[in-house]
Amino acid sequence: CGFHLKGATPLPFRAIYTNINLDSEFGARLRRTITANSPGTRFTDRRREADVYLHQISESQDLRQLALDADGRVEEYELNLEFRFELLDREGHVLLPPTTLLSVRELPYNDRIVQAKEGEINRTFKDMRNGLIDQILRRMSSPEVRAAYANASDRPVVPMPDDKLLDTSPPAGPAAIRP
Amino acid sequence: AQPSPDANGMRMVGSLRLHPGLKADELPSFLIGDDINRDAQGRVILRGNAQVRRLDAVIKGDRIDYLESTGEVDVRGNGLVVRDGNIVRGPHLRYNVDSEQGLVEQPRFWLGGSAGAGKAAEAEILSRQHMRLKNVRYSGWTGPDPAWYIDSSRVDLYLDENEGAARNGVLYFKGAPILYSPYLTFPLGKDRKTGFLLPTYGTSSNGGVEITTPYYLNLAPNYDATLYPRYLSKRGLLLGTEFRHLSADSHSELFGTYIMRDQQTGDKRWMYSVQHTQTLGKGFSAYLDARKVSDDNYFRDFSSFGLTDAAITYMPSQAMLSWSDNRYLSGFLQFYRYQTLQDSTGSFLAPPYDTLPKLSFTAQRYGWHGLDVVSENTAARFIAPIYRGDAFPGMSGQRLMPNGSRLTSYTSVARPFILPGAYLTPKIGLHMTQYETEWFSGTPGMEKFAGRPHSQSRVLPIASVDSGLTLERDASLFGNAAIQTLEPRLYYLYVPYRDQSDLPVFDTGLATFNYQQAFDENIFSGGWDRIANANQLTVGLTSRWLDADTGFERLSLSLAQRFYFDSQKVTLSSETPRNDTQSDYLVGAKAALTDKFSVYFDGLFDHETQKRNRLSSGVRWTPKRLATVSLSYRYERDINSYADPYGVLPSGTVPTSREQVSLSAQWPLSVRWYGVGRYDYSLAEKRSTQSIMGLEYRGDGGWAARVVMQRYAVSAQKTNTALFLQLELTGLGSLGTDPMSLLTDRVIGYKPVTPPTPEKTVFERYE
Amino acid sequence: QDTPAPKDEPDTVILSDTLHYDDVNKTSTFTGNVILTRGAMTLRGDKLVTREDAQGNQFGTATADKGRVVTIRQENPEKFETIIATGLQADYAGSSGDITLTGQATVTRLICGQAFDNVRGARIIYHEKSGTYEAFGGQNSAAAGGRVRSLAQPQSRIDQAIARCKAKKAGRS
Repeated sequence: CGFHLKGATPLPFRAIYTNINLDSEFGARLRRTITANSPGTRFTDRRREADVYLHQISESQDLRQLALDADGRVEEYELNLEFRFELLDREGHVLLPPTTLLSVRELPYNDRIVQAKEGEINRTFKDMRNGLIDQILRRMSSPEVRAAYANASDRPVVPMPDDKLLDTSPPAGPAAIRP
Repeated sequence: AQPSPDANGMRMVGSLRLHPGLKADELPSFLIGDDINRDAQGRVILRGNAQVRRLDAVIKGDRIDYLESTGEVDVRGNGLVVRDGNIVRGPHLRYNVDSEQGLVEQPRFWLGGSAGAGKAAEAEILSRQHMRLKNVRYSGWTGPDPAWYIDSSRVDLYLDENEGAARNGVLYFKGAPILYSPYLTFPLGKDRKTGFLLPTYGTSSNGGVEITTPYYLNLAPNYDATLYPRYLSKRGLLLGTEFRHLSADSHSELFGTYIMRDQQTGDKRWMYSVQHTQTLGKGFSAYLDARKVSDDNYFRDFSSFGLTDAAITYMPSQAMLSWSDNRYLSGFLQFYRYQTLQDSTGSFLAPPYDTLPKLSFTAQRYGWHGLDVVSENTAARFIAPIYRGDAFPGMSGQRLMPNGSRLTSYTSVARPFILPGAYLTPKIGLHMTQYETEWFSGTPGMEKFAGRPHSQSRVLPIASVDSGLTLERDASLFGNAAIQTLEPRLYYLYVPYRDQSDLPVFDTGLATFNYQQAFDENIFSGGWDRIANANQLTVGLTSRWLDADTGFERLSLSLAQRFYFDSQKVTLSSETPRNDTQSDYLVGAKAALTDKFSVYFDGLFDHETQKRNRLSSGVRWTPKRLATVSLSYRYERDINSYADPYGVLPSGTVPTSREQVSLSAQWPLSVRWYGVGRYDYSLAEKRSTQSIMGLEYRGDGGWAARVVMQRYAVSAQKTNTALFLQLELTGLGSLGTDPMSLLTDRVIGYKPVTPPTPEKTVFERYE
Repeated sequence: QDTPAPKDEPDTVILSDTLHYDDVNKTSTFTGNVILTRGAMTLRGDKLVTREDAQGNQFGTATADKGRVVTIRQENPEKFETIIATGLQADYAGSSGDITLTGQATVTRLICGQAFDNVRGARIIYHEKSGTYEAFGGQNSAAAGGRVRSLAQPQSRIDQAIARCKAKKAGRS
């Protein structure tokens, strides 16, 4: 039926610099997935040597009350993870414009086991974030980015961003009150 | 996941501004008229729609007398001055080009930036940045017949501070006075300006007729505050305040409310919530989140207009000092307390354990010679708060749960083998726990635990192998080229059985069985006071359709099931352990078919009866701006299968299933009218659990009105019906917390009706 | 009104290709690159008709051939100023001392040879005695839309130009 094992998708650029912490679980998995899929590519922590800059603009986790039970207590939470990133070359040409990856999951809630549910919510956000890695790789190795890298000079230029992450929101507890 | 289209309307380039080197007295001026003559004193007299034009200012009139030596300009007959984007018209005006002062009779003015316009009896231009007007009518709407305006005896406009200050100003809306104030400041544009924000009127069954007039204080560039005086007819005046502070390495927010004497209950009621994040340098950072409320029913009685308040049953407070070397090591010291809000009309809520303190140290190293080594170690002291409220007298003063402390250490090593199309990750870990529990110290109610040993320990290995393939082929989805993937996954987990029936349960519960939990190491979540024995294999299969050129995921289908080779022997307390050999089927689908239409479906089906144990699905359609509909269905069978390890709950809480349909939409009814609403109906209880109905009218002349009705349960027996009216006057304090933030939170995809007013720059007004 | 007694009235010299004198009307007509100089003022045109009234005041009307203009140049050395006026026709009235330019009329003030202010219109009357002028729009105006347009440089720039001029002059002499 035409299915074949996914082969390597060599990326056109050799050295990647990123502001994502490569020693965190997410960073380590991202690095491992990219280098496995593109053997010629490696990560460098010296920005000047890098051909491209994988810039994480922001990541925000949000908890929305999805449903209430008849007593007015939260019955279900919706977990939203928004990861925003872009890919620039050394001179700041935009290879992949700012893209938002949105991951949404629902989690039944029970306020009798608050702490257990809080643990579950954190594990779910971690799993959602790991789930983005495949999509980041797909975007970076898409023909669109490949073409952009080929004729980078006529791509729009943006000032090189500094490494600081924007609004990585503090740990989202279920009882976060918005005044 | 959706690529987010950036707004691509025409926008003024930010860098366009007057050349800084422009000195006023070096500019040539061009004089135009039907005729010009110059008298002996050097005064030039222009007649016949005369103009004096200079690079930074234009003066027009029927007759202009311009004495170049003194810069004095006298304009008679529909005079006009245009400068910095501000336009002033008047029958007679005198203006000095050099001293930049002047006087205009019966002026009509339009201010630069996104500020408003108006007319007055007289305008005194005191400087380039300061204009004083007498008997003024000012409105933030520069279009014809503005819907709102401020009448005031004297208004000072400070153009550089973007602020207008009106003395004994009266705010009219459609001709009717709605606000009087001896001294009223208002913003001349969008910036954060001290001043009144939009008043909100409304009624609610909880609070009666109420009006909130938020007042914003722009104290400094890095801190500001908002005051919320809120009058409730049934209860009295509730003073609310919100303070925000930002600095290079910290940001903090304080929110508090206070009412001297609640007419219903007769006593003081208050609430505060403080959040503070501080980076201390050398890897240290501190986080404080303290919340307290005066009594259990505060939120039920004062829930302003947000559902987020009334649904709160726990107020967590925590203080944490964390450290990390940003590479491999990290740790934190945390104090965590809960204030439990009982619902006297509902069932008793056992207050959760306070962890005073919890010390955690984590060392992790990924890709160290191909190995992932992670070691998490925590020590925690659990204190069970004694309930002393009067909502449930029977439970007051009783010790329900034992205090105790727990030391855990879980170190694991994994060896991932990653190929482009396959991966294999064996992992082995050792989980050690030591408990010191004060089961029985003579207090009543704990006798049944008397025999349990004080200190116990549990050591067990956890081994797992995770493997998967990624197969691909070219396909097409709705006509455009796509890559379809097929991703089988096998996950085997082995955990030996340890008798844990005598161990305490501090912060552990049964996790919801879903796609992510199916590939997890323990069926319990939280602090793992219980680690289930496992000898099981989870099989999963996912198929995705990705756009061929952008890699954007259009559609994904997934199926999973777990096969058990041993029966479950570890339970939280008395619930019946599982002993069948197959788990339920897990089915999931998610499709972003077009940018405007998306569908999702998640289900858990009983493996024998194929009946659904849990199911949630929904569809969302957003044809154009301000038009969105989303419909969702949720079902879950007998959710009360949680445990009650200490037998706290009254027996007879029969497990019930819950089934709910929810429709939420925002839809333009006509050019002016917009409907917004949400309706949740519980099929299990045959009644609505939450409903919101709203109408929004976008009037021309710069105003919009919203009336929103909301009905929701605030406790087992009590529901709150609230009706709120909000008037939004563009240009006047359109900033500020919108009590209608509920709409954006509750109605999926809701967008405010009034489009953001485009910033009109100085360069767009030129004559 | 009686004309003020002429001080030391500068003498007028007129050069031209041809001259035709009409004794009956007491008019003389100069044609062909006419150049009239009178003190610091010189006038150039293609045809000049002068006459004298009973009180002895001189009147003159200068015109230019098609596509050319009458040019009047007035030097004012102490103020380092030069006034250049042009127009299709220039009328000089000895009685009032006014010069009236009609048709594509322009008056430009130069300082040290650099153009600063100017006035353009259909008709400009220059009152030589009071140093004032009047400009009128009209059908054949030098400025767009039949209007009168004038450029006035700020006094500070004019003073700077004069100062530079003085410095150069002092340096040379």
